[in-house]
Amino acid sequence: MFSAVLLSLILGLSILSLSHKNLFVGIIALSAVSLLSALLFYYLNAPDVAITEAAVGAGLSTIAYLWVFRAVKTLEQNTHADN
Amino acid sequence: MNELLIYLIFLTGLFAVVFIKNIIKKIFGLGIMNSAVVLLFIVRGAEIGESAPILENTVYNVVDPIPQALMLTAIVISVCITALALGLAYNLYLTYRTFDIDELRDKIES
Amino acid sequence: MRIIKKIIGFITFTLASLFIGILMLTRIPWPTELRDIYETNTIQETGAPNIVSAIYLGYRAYDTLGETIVLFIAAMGTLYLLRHAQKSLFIATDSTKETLTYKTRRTSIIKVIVSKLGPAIIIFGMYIMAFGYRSPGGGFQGGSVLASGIVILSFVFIENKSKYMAITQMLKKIEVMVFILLLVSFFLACLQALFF
Repeated sequence: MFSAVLLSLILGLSILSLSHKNLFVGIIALSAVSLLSALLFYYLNAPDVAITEAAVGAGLSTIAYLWVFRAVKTLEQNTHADN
Repeated sequence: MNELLIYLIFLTGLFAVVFIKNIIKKIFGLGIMNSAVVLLFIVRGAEIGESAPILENTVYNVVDPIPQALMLTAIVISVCITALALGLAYNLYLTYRTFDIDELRDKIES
Repeated sequence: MRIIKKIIGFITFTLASLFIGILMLTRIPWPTELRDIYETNTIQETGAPNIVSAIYLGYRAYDTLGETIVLFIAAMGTLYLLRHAQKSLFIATDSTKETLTYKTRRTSIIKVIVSKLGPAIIIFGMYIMAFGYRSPGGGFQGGSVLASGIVILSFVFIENKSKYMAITQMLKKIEVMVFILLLVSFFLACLQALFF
């Protein structure tokens, strides 16, 4: 029952991250997907996978997405400033 | 019930990879497909036991450890795929100044 | 042309979803024989109570080694792509430094919290690495926690160039020391296997 609730939350968050117009909301929703699946792994007796998912999925890949997001925003602002 | 929900999560990622025009959202879809596969393996492997696969006390009847070991490597590979795809998308953006795939195709062909 | 591509995409989506639905939704009972083998033999064969660590660092160590090489190559490729991109940007816009000034909104909240929390994260990563054989954890998890701690610390110290350089110097020393420790432990293990 608990796992079904968590899985439907993950489904809703992934649909939100794909359908929202702002990319920043999508990045944060994807990070929340990783955190919720880490919680589900801990509930399903898989603590190793939970630690990996929380550190890699919610930490490192979010940092990579945010880096590209910031670089693209800076480029957009600079091109608008030039024109 | 759980398998049906995981199948819907996988279909969301596949839909994004096939139909959505934005490249960054295609990479989102790849990540969502990967987490759906990881969830499926862990959920199915947890059906046959009751405790975590750490043999500290004499309370055995653990869950299956092999899907967990394989999914550990799958998560690490998924972050490789994400980083490499983001690097390629950033290079495309620097050259053509867009993330939309139709505009990219027009600009490349012209 | 667009319509043909859309139809091809629709057919691909339908076929793939049908195939994967058959794979995912059929229920056969999960086999238990291999679980029983690992449960009875792991402590005698490897000495590690954590079966997952024993599998991916003991039974399948070469698999993990190859996967680490894949990770290394992917990181190198990403860094090459990003550096190449920055260089081509400098050539294209011809105004070198002004185009890439990032707007920083760094408040004192981030500074205080990160400088207290970062060392704790690094120590926690080392703990996960060292005790991975008996508690949940291991090399990958500890390494990624350590990497996120270093990235968080660089959020603060990248503003002050001298402190950032000090951190890289320290990291270089740590790297050399860990490599020497690895070699020494390898030779000790060889000696133990030969003579005792």
